[in-house]
Amino acid sequence: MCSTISFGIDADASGWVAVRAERRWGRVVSETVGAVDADATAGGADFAGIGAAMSRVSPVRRAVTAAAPAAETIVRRMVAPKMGPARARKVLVSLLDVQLPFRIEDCAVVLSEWRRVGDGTEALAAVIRREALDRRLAELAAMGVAPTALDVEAIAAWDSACREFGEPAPGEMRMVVHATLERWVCAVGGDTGLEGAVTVREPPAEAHDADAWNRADLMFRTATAGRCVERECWIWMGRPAERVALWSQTMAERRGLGLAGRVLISREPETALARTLALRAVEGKLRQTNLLTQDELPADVRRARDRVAVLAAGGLIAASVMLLGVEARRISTLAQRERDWAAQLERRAREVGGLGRVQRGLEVRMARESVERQLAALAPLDRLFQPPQTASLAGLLRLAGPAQIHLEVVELSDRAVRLEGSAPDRDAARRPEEFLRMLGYEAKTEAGPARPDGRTPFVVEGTRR
Amino acid sequence: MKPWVREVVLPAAAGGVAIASVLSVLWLELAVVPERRSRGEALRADLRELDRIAESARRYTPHLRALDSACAASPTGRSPLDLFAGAAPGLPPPVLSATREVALDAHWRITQVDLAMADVPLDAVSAFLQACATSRPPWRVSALRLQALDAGSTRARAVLTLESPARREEAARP
Repeated sequence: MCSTISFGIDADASGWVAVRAERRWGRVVSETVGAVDADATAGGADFAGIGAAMSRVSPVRRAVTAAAPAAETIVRRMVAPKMGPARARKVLVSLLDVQLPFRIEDCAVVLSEWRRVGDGTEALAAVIRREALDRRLAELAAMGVAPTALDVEAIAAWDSACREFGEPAPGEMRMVVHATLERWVCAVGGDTGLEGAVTVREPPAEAHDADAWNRADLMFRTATAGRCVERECWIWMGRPAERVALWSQTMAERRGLGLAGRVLISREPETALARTLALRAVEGKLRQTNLLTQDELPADVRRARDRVAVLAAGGLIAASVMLLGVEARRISTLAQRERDWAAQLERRAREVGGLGRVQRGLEVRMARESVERQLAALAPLDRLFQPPQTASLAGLLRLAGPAQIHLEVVELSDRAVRLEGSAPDRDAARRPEEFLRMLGYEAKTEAGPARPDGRTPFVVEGTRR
Repeated sequence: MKPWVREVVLPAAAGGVAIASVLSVLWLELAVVPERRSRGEALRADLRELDRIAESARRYTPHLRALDSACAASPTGRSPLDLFAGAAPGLPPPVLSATREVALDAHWRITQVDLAMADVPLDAVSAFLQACATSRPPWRVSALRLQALDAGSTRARAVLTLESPARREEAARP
């Protein structure tokens, strides 16, 4: 996904400043792309170049942020007691409704900085009437700016101060003033964060403009009334820079800030707010405080986002279908391979078993049984290749002659042997048994008592081992 | 396009399809693919088993080859009576008491013959047995019983069982 290229526009009747911000290699970088004071903005001709630069950025990547009119924005920290954020979201809007002098349905409301306080939930609420927003959009359109977001100026100014000077110290009251010749916007808060904002519509232009200073003083005192302040910290930003320095100095003198306070001026007071607006869009912080709805986006941005959404959804659906297709193909391949093996098994079983046909699932069993039948039929072949009994007979006859053994009956078979005869003595009667043992028979001799002619009759019986 | 269509309907539809697709793939991978694989493995195991069976079926191949070569020269062997007449000319022929045939396979069979000789010189028996062993195909003596008829064991009563392989269609008849 392409990163957002954000333009922060700080513009009012006294002039404008534009800052461009972008995320590059994980870092957010910003640059000032234009700044014009009140006299030069007449007719908006000088903004045309910046507008053209913005329009060159793809609408999908482009974010243009301006500040909503602070004088018509109410910023207030609110607490919904004894409930979590989910329920507090509804309750806080209702609580806000009864505190407003106009109908909440006619307003744009944003709730941000959610946090749990005890068993309740606290949020920073910002409210502005829609007609004020429309006026602001018309002013910006007259300058050639079509914003994609309108931020709450006090929140942006407070954020800018925190970025540059860190969070307020414990017990410190911080006043962040964004001052121009047109108006001063003062964000008031402490170590718990931004608490509210005041706007001075006709600010003192010079140090000796006593009435204006008194009005401003009064507004600041009203904003900080009832606070137990250990230390004040004033942070100034705005344009022109030399006036900001003058205003900060005069305010410090008028309030008699000594050791109990300090006055700080932003390093780049003229671009601080515009830069913060641009950075908040890139960093995603703007999402919670954007006062514009999706319906109020510029037409080209809406169309581009529609196209991206359709393409993304279509791409995701196509990828899903493709994933399913790949899986289906894989399973189809497995099934095909299984069919091939089954066919091969059947063919091989018929071939091995010499069978005409085999039953599916019983191929191996049928082939095995067929082969066992064939082997059983061929088993007599083993006997054919055994040595014939002729050899045994010849051996017995060769033994009998020299030993003077008379063989009367000779029975030989593949499994058994039986001899009857007579020998000159008992020892000689045992010699056929020994011979048969050498041929692999389990043999046993039964010799009888010597006959009248002195010969010993014997019977030898044996079986093949 | 309405923002809710862009931000809710499209992502929900695409996400739904994607989730359904991933779940389907997971189901296929976990349920169908292992079953297919195991069936394939079983088939391959059966094929290997068939190879082993085929190997064991070849156990008698060398025997049959030897029979083929033994019978190649004289496909029709001589009968035992002919062999006896040749080995012991002038003597009365043995009595053929039984003939049996054992089929080995489609091509081969074994012929078994029982012969009885009431009174025969042992030399003639010996010459007959020698002739049986050297004939092609040979007649093998699987059992014999000799009973001497005189004190010098020159004559005997003999009962023999001979067997010989033969081609089924070309088998030698006794």
